[in-house]
Amino acid sequence: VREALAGAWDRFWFAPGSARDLAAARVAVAATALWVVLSRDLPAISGVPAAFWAGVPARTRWRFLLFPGHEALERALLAVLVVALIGVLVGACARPLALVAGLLAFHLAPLESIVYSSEPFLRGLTLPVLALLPLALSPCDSAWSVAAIRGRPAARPAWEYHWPVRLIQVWLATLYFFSGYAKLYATGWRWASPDNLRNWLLAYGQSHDVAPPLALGLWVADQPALCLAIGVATLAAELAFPLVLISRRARLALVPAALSMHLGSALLMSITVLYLPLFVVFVDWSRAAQGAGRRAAAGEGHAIVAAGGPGI
Amino acid sequence: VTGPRVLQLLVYPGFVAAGLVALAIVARSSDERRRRRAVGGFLLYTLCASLGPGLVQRSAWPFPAWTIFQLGHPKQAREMRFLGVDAMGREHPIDGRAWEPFSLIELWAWAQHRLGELSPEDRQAAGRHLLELADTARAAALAGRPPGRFARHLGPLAAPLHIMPRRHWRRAGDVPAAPLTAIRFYWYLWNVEERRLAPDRVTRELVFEYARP
Repeated sequence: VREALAGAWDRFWFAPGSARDLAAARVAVAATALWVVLSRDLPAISGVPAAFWAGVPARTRWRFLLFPGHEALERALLAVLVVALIGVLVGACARPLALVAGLLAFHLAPLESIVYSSEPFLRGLTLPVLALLPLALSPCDSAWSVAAIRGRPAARPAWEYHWPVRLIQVWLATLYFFSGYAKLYATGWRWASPDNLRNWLLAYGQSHDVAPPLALGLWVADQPALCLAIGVATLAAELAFPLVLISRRARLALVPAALSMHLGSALLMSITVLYLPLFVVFVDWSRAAQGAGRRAAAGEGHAIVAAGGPGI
Repeated sequence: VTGPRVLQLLVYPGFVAAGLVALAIVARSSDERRRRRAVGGFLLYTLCASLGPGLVQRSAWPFPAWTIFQLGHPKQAREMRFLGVDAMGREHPIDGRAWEPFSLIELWAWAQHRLGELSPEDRQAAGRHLLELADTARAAALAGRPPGRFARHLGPLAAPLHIMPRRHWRRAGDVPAAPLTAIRFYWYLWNVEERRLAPDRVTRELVFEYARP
């Protein structure tokens, strides 16, 4: 049994991987983190009046080394974080910079919610904070990088390209699985009832300050069968999501299901998630590149240019 | 300090430490099995750290429990609202972008859970700051500039907030023309079924008011 388990562990984590898959993960993680930090003003929270920090426990301040009144310092750290993320994105000194960026993002990200909570999950930096460390530990700059353009880095054993991508896949799978598990833990199967979804949709649709972009949510709330279908499908997709780790067919069904779920929650309730770029870890980039190469060799690329180019 | 709190404190430093140990072994050793075992140790730690918070439903960010919309929603809904008041006493909705660098959901949660615990002086200081934010944003919007800070680098491509606030100030005519002299926090309370039939069936309770002296 022990040998079988060890074999399964090795096959799962240490199967041969591709430098392109790891490079795609690197680009997606760095781009997501950069997108989020450039779309907020995290250091400014350090500079708000001390009254807002009065309820922040000392253990939280020490846990993240965040203290009020240091806006200039936090701005300097944010500048370093941005430079480090750009380095990771383009693959210049990507590995040490990924470590620096991970540590700085861990320090700065909680500022978004710290006046109330020390748990800034779903604000966009949780998965990048985690994923930057495995990138720092792996040859993430072997492809699609400044390092690769300057001179091809020494080839590494193929398993070294695989496990970091696997780990990001596992984190995405835990996100969905535990989201479903939390619903059963807190509310039970009743969560999927039409009545519950109706209440959520009505509350969001009737909100004064959170407005769904369409009145679609209120219409859906009035369709009990549709509410039941959405509730059951949401729970089923979330609980089944870990299957993407072991089954290609499950991946083909569940990844689009998850993306549809997010589209639905954005349209019906104005709820967004920012980690969607990380779904590139479910794409086989080597196969995609081979397919594109074959199409180009067969002349399909010329056909597209001819069809789209005015006057050609 | 309780056991779970200690774990919460140590889980990320442990993650980094396990990674650095694995990195040191991988860098020094030429023995393939030893290198895999080092990475395997890091992966085992990471798996425990990632699955534990979910299983016990207690977050240890950046290892969250992923509690997303896990509760049942009752028929009774309530919403914290922040309204601006001008010198004539007229109340105005404030665009969610006005509160930046706070996002609206963090400010709701803060007002709901932390405001009541503050001393009267701190409540006044917080109210003064929020009124200043709202009025500065109002002046910016009136002048045709964006009322918040989050879009300053990326413009319309800026990452949206997890829960997107309504943009009350879409046109110049939506923006209060007179300076704001006070802000009020209200609880808006309603029954979702009753309000489906009669949209105006909402009651409200004043929670907090700050008026510029």
